[in-house]
Amino acid sequence: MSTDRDLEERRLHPSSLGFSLLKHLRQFLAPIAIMFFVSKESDSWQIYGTVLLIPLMVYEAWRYFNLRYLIADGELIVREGVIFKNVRHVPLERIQSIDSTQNFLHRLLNVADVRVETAGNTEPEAELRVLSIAARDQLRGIVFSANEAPSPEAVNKEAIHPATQLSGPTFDFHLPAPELALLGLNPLKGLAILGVGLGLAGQLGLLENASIGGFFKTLLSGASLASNFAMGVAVVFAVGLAILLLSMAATFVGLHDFTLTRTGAEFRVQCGLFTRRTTTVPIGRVQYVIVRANPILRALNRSSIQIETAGGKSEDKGHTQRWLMPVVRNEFVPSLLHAIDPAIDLECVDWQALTPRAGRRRLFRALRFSLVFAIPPLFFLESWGALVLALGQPVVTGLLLALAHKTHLAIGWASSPFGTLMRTGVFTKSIGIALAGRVQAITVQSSPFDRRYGHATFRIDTAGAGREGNKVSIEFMSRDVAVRLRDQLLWDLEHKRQDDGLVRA
Amino acid sequence: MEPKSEIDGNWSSEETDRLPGDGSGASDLTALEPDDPVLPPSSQVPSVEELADGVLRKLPDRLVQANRLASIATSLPIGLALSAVALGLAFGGPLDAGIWWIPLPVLTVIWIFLLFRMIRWPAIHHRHLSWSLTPLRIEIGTGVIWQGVTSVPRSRVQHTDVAQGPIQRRFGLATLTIHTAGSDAAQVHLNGLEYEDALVIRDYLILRENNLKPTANVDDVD
Repeated sequence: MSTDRDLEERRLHPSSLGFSLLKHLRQFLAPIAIMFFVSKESDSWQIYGTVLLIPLMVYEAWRYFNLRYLIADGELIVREGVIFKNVRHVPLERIQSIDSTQNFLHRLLNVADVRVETAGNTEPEAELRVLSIAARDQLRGIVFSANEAPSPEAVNKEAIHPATQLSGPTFDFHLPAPELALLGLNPLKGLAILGVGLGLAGQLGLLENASIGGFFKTLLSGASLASNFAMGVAVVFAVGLAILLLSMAATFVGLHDFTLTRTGAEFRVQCGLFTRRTTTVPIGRVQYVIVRANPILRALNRSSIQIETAGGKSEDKGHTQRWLMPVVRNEFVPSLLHAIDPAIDLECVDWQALTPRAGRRRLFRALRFSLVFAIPPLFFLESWGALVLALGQPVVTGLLLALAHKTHLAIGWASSPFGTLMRTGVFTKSIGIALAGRVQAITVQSSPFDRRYGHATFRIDTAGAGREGNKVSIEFMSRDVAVRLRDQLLWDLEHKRQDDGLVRA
Repeated sequence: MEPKSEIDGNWSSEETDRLPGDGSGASDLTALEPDDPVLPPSSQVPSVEELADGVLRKLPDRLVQANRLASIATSLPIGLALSAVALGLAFGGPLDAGIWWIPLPVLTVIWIFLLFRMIRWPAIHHRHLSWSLTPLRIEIGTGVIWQGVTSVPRSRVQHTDVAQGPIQRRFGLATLTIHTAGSDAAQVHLNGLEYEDALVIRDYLILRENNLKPTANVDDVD
């Protein structure tokens, strides 16, 4: 009922009309283009186009004048609808995040596309398209009852990670561009792209005489490599490099001028060169935290931190992954984690390994898998198959076994006062933290193989559980350990009445 | 019981507090061990206290009949349609003289599978279904090949549904669906409960504020 948390009834920004028309125009672009090409000489497509657009314009105008939003009695109320009137009440304490997106046009007009998200919904609870920046900031200020962010001018953009910028109740941090370059330089991504390039080159017939068999033939006969083979390789590498550069450019554009701001109880992330995207997440709503580092980041003593919150599970790019910080020096990881939950302390975690039995199971699996590699050469024993079998098979088997062993050693889990942790990864190492009290359900599942080994898969479901890799899911865990861990977590949940972060106290 | 203040990383089994009916850690997985003794399904309209005792329960035997009927309703038309096609292929003459018999063994295999699905499978499926309810959580064990136990704390239940299909209505059974705010286990189903049990459990799960606290007090509720 407090007056400072009320907002009188408002309309969207007047430019909303233009933006919604533009959205419709984009949908009509393809049909209009087809009509244009089909009816060569007449102008009839223009008439059809306008005829289709007039009712749309009327509808959009009507919709615009009917859509209003206000905040009263601790609720965001959105009235909308032309034929079917719809009044939506969203309790403010249920709002998980307010995202705003600004593309180039939005920035010219100083407006933003605003999405209000609550938990348990794949679609945003309310989509206010579009609001003026002032209206957006006012809405955000009232919903999260937080002070406005400190002015960005106060921040020295040249400074690289001064520790003072990442701690305390408020900070405002700009990620320098060279750091972003590190993120774009993911070697695995490069490798995947190279693979795609190779496939493409093969499809285009660039590797006509450059098959593996041909390669060995030329190699064994001692002749110099065929010139078109060299050409093919060059093209593949050029394509691979170009795609790698493109992906780096995409990283640059998407995460340009990445800014993390903390104002009291919320994080605000801003990034993007053309389309500027702002996400505001109340810190108490964070469900899952991932600290990840690929080999390049690890070599340079850096990591990236992602957070998962409830809601906003749309497939829309940039909304599935929420960066807290794409690249950060390892010495500042603790202070960032501390900002999420003061209890988080990775130093004090007592990591538990899986049993040696689980390791042996992984080795056997790798061994079985490596046998599959032996099957195709068997059909070509007369020609090159014997060579591959003699030289390649031991190498493949050795590599797979080593990888399985490393994978087993890398896996760890821990139960701590601040949550359940899971550690994985040989090359790209990651630590996931399911924060205490965020548990929605726990599943202990065992396949027939699990039962033979006395193993089970242990899974924690939270409101922010995303794809595999972004949630606690431990394979090959001893079954009785899994059951005990489950009982422990449920006991804590029930007796400590832990908050699941979906409603603010 | 004395609430534990904190967990440290290396908890051990004696530290782990037990809920009523838990016994030991191993017996908690009785859903995975079909031979372990379980209570027969309750026959009369139950009280909440009777059901929320943490004992692992089976679903009523009538579920086997109901599932057989449902399975026949879906599998039999498929089987008959496939038989018509196979017999048509074998004796209708579109295949060459040498391979006209091939559809017959294929059809035999399909019928063996369908008969297994209609007659044996519902019983096997039923043997691996179990559930238990305590004042603090509900646990549902399912799966014949991938056997899993899903535990949902009562404090995390958002809302519950009880649904009855036509066959279930005939047998007096129901499906209880528990909705959580989770992602993968956003909906947990328990198919084949006694209709009365389902209603009692439904009400019990959603009336949580007055029952959840270990020191439950009627005066706490408005």
